[in-house]
Amino acid sequence: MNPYTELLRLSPVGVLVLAQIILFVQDLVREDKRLSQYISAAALALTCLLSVYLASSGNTVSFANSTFVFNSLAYYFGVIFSLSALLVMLSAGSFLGRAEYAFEFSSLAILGVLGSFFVASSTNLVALFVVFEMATTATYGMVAYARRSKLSAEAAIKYFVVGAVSAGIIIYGISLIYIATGSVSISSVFSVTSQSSQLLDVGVILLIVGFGFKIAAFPFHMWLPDTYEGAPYPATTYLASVSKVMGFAALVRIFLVMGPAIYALGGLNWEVIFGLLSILTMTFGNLAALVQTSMKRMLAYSSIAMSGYMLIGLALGTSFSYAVLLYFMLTYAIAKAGSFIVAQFFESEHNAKSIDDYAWLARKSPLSAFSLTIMLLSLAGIPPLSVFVAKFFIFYASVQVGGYWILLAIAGVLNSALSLYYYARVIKNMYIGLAGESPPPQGPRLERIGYMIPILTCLVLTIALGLGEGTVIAVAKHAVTTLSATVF
Amino acid sequence: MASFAELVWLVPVVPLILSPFPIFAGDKLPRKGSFVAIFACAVSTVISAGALLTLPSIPYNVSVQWLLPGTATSIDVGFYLDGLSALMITITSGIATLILVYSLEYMSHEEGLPRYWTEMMIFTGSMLGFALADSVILMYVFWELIGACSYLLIGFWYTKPEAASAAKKAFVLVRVGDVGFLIGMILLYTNGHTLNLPAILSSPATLISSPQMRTIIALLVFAGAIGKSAQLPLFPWLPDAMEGPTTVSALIHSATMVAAGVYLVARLYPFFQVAPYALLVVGAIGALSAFVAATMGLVSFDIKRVLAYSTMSQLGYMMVALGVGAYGAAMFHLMNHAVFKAMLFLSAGAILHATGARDLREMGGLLKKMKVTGLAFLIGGLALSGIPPFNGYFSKDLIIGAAYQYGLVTGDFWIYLLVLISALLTAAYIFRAFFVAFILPPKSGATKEVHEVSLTMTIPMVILIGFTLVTGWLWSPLMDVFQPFVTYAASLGATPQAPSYVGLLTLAFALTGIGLAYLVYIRATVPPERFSSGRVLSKLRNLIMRSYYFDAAYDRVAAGVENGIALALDYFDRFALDGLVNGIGRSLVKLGRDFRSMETGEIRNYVAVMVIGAVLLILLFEVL
Repeated sequence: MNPYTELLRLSPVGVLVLAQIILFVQDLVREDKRLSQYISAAALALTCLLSVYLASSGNTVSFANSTFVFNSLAYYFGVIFSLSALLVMLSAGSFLGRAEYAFEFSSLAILGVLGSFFVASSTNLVALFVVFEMATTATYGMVAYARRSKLSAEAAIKYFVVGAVSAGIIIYGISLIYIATGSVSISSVFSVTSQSSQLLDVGVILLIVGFGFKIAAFPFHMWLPDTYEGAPYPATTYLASVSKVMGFAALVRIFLVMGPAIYALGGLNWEVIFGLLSILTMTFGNLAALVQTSMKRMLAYSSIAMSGYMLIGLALGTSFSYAVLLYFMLTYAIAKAGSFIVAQFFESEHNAKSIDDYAWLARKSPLSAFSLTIMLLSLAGIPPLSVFVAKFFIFYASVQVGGYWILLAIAGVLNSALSLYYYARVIKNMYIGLAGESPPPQGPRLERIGYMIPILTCLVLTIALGLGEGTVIAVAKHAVTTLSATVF
Repeated sequence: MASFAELVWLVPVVPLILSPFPIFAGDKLPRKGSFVAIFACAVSTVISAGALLTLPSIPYNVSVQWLLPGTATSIDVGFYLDGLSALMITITSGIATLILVYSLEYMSHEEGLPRYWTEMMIFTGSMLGFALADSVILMYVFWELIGACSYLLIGFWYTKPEAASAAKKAFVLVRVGDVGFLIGMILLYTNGHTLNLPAILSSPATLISSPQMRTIIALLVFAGAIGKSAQLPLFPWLPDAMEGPTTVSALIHSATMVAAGVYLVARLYPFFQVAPYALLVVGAIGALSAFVAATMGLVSFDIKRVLAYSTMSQLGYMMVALGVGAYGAAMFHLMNHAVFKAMLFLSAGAILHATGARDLREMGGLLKKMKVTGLAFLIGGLALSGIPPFNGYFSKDLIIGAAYQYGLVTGDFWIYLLVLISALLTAAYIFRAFFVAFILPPKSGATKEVHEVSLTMTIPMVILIGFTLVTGWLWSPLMDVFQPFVTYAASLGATPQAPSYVGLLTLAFALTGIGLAYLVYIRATVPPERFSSGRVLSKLRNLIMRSYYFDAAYDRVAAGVENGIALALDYFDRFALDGLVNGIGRSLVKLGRDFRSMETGEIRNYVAVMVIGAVLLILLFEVL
């Protein structure tokens, strides 16, 4: 391979590494808070554009003795990671302006994306675990960032303890798989001695549990509401977008390649496990979101519910369902990040924390309120917005597979209908206030340019991805077929 | 120069695209952004009228693919222009423009005007999109948008509890019908494998071979039309919707929301024709609604409610026309009704604007003070009653004649009888309103000085008076350009014509109705109180006044459902959710250690639940 092509294909991670170095140097020399933010945002934007180009043109490059293989799938995930992190960095301006140490946050955000990028490209379970922990560790730091705040520290401790336990579970699972198969590579071909097929199965279940922590599947979700609520908003946005998608990336990476062989050799019906977790997760998430009064907590539970819908993609295990899952993650990350950013803006400007505090905010900040409305409607699954299209396809995929899998579609449709209730409550409060309360006097309208850039980006993407879903799904399909066809 | 047909996609798109302007920038624009709304609707009107006049001989279809282009799951989204849709968009955009001009003055003193303009634009744009849609799924999308906008507009004065509850009622009752439409659409797709309108209309019988399935689908779709067009039994939202601004009522009742139900049936008429019994149900519901609404119109004291019941009744006529095979007459009446009903509402709005009264008993002698308004109401009333040469006469005559022919063919004369009696009642209730409000001297001393409204409000009324005189002749003994124009499929057939003595009888009934109102209210030979005295009559009056107890029944059902859901949620919140989390926590406490503080305890629980989950999964999938 031409060294320049190779360099180009490694450039998304290369840019991030370079940005990391520049950030450190910048902090040593100038200690400019704003500049750190701009450098990281620029690097993430560049990575995002490079990844879009590389994902759509179907490139592959291997790295470090083929431990990491960057292909369309990895680049596709790279787009989601870098785009979500970019949104976080763009919206973090006012938070970092107040923080004592601003530069480390930018550095951690880039480190998390770097780790996630490697997760999506690793071909070896141990390597995957190491980069997975690298990314997770970065998020521990981000959650604890407002270290003088008791809530933030508590959230970080909870997150850390549960995260540490699940790391233990993952490594235990990997070691069982190693004992059973004599290999830790993520490969579609491996052998297993008949006595140890059960070891393989238990190992795989432990992997599902361990990664289930990251994607917050029921019942491994319990850390999530407290952590999301306690963490500073940029960290919450980061957890809900980059970090959650990384958990799915690891599962997609493993089960897309190893899934058929696990079923053939170990006899483990892992698809049923995902189906079960999917229904439990979406139902629990929605029911719990229904009774929340705090906006941040409501969004946290709704993000659990969204994991449930996305798990359908894993449960079906067809190449179409994986492709839809990839599309779903992109639309979810944007809509969710957008909602959290608007919530952050409303909390900092209008001191709005509970859903009741959102009364009449459409009068004070009409554009942000409108964006939040569109993004919540998208999450609720209203056509033609992007998450609707994703849900539509994922339910369609389960109907296509047929049999008992249709239950997943039925559960999903019922849950979507249920979710409209709590999303609509927020929209109602913003536009027509609380019952029996008269509207406040027409005050000055308040929109902050620093927030409006990421919010409007999310708004435009939420609408555009719904209308132009064809190209994205075509790329996702291509990414899935290249990976499942390749034997490592 | 592109032809109008090629530009027709702009008709719904312009109002929808421009709709954010008033609400976001209305405060900075002159007159709160009203000109954006009027401009958008005027553009739509010009293009619609141009498309109507230069209609290509073959239907014009433009579409884009959405949801996976080029695969089996792709859904075509586009616009379909033929005689029917061209007529509908011209009516809708034209009347919407006039109503928006009228609102300039009528709404000028209201709070939240930018919101009003934006919602009116989305409302109109959705109706235009609904009329032009080339697939049932796109029709459904716009259908829902129409419903959502009507909710917002009826509840425009959301601080008024009556308005808020009326909006809720409209939304919920219409949604009941929508569920039927949605299920019908899903069945249509699963059985016929297409939602594309031209495909459904070209050969509906071969698309779905089972006649029973066709009937089921047609009736489910018709349930949607019942809700939107306020037919029995989903009508109680319509009179309550009078809590919204009068301009909104005018738009809802003439060319948008309620017309959507009739249009839906007309649009899918070839499908209804091959669905056995479906048209009979349409006709029966229509005839009953026409009659029931006319009786309710007789006893109402609120001028807007009288008009609301008359809308329900006239929509019943259109449904009858569709049911008895007079498809052309239904569309003809839709057009004529849109014109004169908009005029009647604008006239009622002018009264409200000038006097502040909605109750007929507070009005009187207005004709002398408000000449144009009174003339508009009189001509509207004559058209509604079916008196020549106003447009209502021509279409109503055709419908009642067709109902008579239907009776001759099938032997079922009760539909004919119901619409004939309704014709008498219609004339009676509208002239009762006219006499009381405009002719009789006011009962209480009129303390308030009343003047005619300004030109901005009278000009739309005058334009509509002109149309009332003109549109009827489009299908009359002189000429028949209307019917061939809207007949988009060969199967639709010509409207059956009745012998001329049927028409004379209809006219006699209408004149009798006016005469009765004259005798009771002007000559006072029989005082109106006589009609409510006596046991039977007072009971009957009570029954009609309470909308045949439909309202009470719905309230009961709603209260039951609401309480049920609230109880279930409360139970879930208190026991299932809290119980689950705390229960697991407590059972761990029993294992030995007590919480030192809530925080550490919780993490322990979280980890414990996680491990238990893992163990359960392993047990479930490996051991068992």
